[in-house]
Amino acid sequence: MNEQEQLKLQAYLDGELTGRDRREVTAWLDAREDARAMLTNLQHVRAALRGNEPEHRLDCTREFYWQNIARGIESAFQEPGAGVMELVLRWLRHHLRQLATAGIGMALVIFAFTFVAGDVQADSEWEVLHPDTGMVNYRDYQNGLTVVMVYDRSTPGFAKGD
Amino acid sequence: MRLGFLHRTTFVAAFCLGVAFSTNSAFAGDDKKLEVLLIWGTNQEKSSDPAHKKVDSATSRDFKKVYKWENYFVINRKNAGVEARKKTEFKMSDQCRLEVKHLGDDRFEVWLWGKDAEAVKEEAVCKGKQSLPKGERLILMGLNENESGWFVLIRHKE
Repeated sequence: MNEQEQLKLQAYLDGELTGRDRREVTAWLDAREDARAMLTNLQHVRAALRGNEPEHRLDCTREFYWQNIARGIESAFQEPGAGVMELVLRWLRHHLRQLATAGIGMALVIFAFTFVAGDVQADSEWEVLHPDTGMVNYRDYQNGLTVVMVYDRSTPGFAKGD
Repeated sequence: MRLGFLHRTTFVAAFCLGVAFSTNSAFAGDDKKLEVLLIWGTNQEKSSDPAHKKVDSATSRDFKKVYKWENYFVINRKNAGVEARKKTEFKMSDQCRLEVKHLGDDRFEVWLWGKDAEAVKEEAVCKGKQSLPKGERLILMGLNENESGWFVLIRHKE
């Protein structure tokens, strides 16, 4: 018997088949040995289950019982930070105007530092002012040291002295 | 009293601008005290001028890490407060002079002026803008013809 036939036989045993399906299964049981053997097996299994299945009495209706289980599963799978996130979002929505104001303020501060106060530039900018002078810069970040070495370009090899 | 949205915005903006301006020392007008040393690097054990003392051990150690000379003598030492937006002069020797201007915060503009022994006229050698917070050091250096070296060390006076 294939799987579909086995399922149909199980449904027959459970009294779930009517009409044409029921007649079809009855015909199998009359004609096929394997169908009868399968039915016998299923009957044994059902009898075993009925005899040993623990009986569980509910204090509430079946629907209410399963609703509680579904609710428990939902809460178990909920993200731990979801409640906090919701609070944060609510707070953000409530204080949107104040946040916008603070944003404008911050933009003004950045503007003031960058364009009004000026001088917020690179750490070190050096240039040679004499035509015969060359320059080598060295920066030691670890020791907080900047070295600007100037040398006479007109003297060959002079810069290689150290 | 409840402030309207426009009033609150103006208040916050004014506050932020106030913080921006007050925290920037370019507008606060404070002086920065700098120490400038003219140092001579040589392998000679002693300077011909007994007034020249050796640099402190920490500076000597730092110099020896980078340069080949064994001894470093302080030729001149100057301490001065550098005013905001105004040049302060440090005359270190007949051949070496510095001009320093405080640009605000810990930034300075430095001009180095030099003169050869034969030259009559002083000439600008280089200039630069340098951030020099406390603990940071700036060294301008060059080589002498007698295989020794000169250094101008600039640092915050603690």
